[in-house]
Amino acid sequence: MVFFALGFETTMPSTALTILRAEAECISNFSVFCNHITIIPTIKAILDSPELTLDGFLGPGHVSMVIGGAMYEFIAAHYHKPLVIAGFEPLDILQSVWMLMRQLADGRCEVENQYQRVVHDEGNARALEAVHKVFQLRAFFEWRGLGSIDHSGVQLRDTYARFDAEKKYPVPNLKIADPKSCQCGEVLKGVIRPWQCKVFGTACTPEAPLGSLMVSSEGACAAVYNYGLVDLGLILKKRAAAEAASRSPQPV
Amino acid sequence: MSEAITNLVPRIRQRSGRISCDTITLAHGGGGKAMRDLIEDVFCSAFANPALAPMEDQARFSLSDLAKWGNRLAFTTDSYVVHPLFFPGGDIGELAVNGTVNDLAVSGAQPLYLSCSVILEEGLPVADLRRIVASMRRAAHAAGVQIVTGDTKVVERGAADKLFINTAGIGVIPSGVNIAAIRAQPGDKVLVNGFIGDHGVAILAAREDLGLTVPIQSDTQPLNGLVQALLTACPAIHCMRDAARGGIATVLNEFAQSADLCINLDESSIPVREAVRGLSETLGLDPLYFANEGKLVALVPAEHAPAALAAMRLHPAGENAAIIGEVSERPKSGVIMHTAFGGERIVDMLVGEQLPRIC
Repeated sequence: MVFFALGFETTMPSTALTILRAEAECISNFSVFCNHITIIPTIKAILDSPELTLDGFLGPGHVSMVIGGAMYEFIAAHYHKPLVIAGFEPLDILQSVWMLMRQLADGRCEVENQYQRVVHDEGNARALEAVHKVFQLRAFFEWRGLGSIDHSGVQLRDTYARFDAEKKYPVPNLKIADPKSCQCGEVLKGVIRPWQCKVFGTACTPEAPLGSLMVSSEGACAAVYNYGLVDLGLILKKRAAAEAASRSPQPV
Repeated sequence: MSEAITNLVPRIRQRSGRISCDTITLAHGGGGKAMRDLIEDVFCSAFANPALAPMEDQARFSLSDLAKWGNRLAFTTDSYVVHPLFFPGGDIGELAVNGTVNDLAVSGAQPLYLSCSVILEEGLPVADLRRIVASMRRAAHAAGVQIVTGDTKVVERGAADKLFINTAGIGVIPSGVNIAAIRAQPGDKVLVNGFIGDHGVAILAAREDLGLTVPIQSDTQPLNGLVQALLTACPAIHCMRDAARGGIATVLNEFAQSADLCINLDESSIPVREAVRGLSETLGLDPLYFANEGKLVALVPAEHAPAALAAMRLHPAGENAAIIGEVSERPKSGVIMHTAFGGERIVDMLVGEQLPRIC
């Protein structure tokens, strides 16, 4: 049995604990294809992007529950961006946005924690212990829209090699290029808004998503598509007009 | 005919009529004596009734008996593949009876007869099958229906997951009752007969071993008694559906689309248990989409809504009933949630499964 393990630090502890349990019970027919990703190097990469146009961050609630709020301090200290760790309910989000805006209005850059009922500064020590015991950083990991980011993924430590599907089985190093038209990366960095993506609402919809941001109720593009006060008809009309204009012969 | 052959026949015909092994084997689906033993020992003994007793290839009913109940037949079918087979508050057998009873009941019909078709995976413990069939018998008795015909198939290990059940059902709709999605009218009130999402959470918790401190029980229950009480108090019910898979959100979208009207929900009046709300928040799931197995959504004219609500609350299957919204003209085909903090959001049908959050 091969478990396809994915997700940020939120799901990493359960994979780590499963491997530790498998080790304790001497289970030999189980391995993990590890595709876990880690949040801090990823945020760093976004912050280092020259085209970054974000004003601040809503920190991910459940990742923060595991890693702790203190891990984000560098974002305020070195990059001078405010961050508010946010819960997921509508009022959590509203309050977090308000807290961010208050920081911006005051000219402050701090890490604030709106999701205090779940997230603590030091994180979840038992979860982190299991994660550190089982995983180590990879040299790099490929991201949809963001390309390769150094140290943004994890792999199993050599001690647990017998549970590592990449070591047990020949896993071809497949490179799957992003669809050319997909602009998830630019949306993630705040360079464009979801509806400004070339394929938003046409080739990329919640029924047939091209990019990850159109997937699930929490993808940014899916949220705008389903709930945003965006006139899709108008966007498509403008897009068609722009394409027609670019195809028509240029005046000499 | 030789004497020897004549003497042999009774010996060959002899069967124990009982299953002697602990697990289902392919022989139990082979059409021979083992299958006959299975049917007699497990199914016929549990479901015993006059329509089943002759063991013909079909059950037969007199049309004049049916006509005593009303002037139209209601006919439905549903398949049950739930995993695990046993969960807090019920099992697949109880679901298979209640689900089909409820699909009939929400038309206003008196549910009368059910079929029971099972697909068994080789290796299924006979004890599990007996337990499930016993629970079907109890559920049928509680709902006042008879299981009058059936079928068994056994498939090789791996070709099915332990046990699948299909039940079809026949009921009779009293003359004068006309419940249909297309009859929704602006001003109608939206009623639900109790807490939503219990079944979905019970299954999720059992399947994923979530270790909840307060276990949630499935809400599986027959709704025909409640519907009859509701029809007595409010014969003018416009629409009514069983809010099973897809939850109340899906049913309300079906109503809104059929009648080309808008359903406005008042978030703070929707009954959701604290534990279901908490789990939904943690996992990022919406109770509006969780499956129910004993919940109906009804649209009734506003002037009859208080009587309908009172009738529901007097019935054990509707103690926690509530009015959760109302119908308006616009936006056409919409379901709009008026949130507890004064916002509005569109409640659409799901594209596929609900996905838990991983960030």
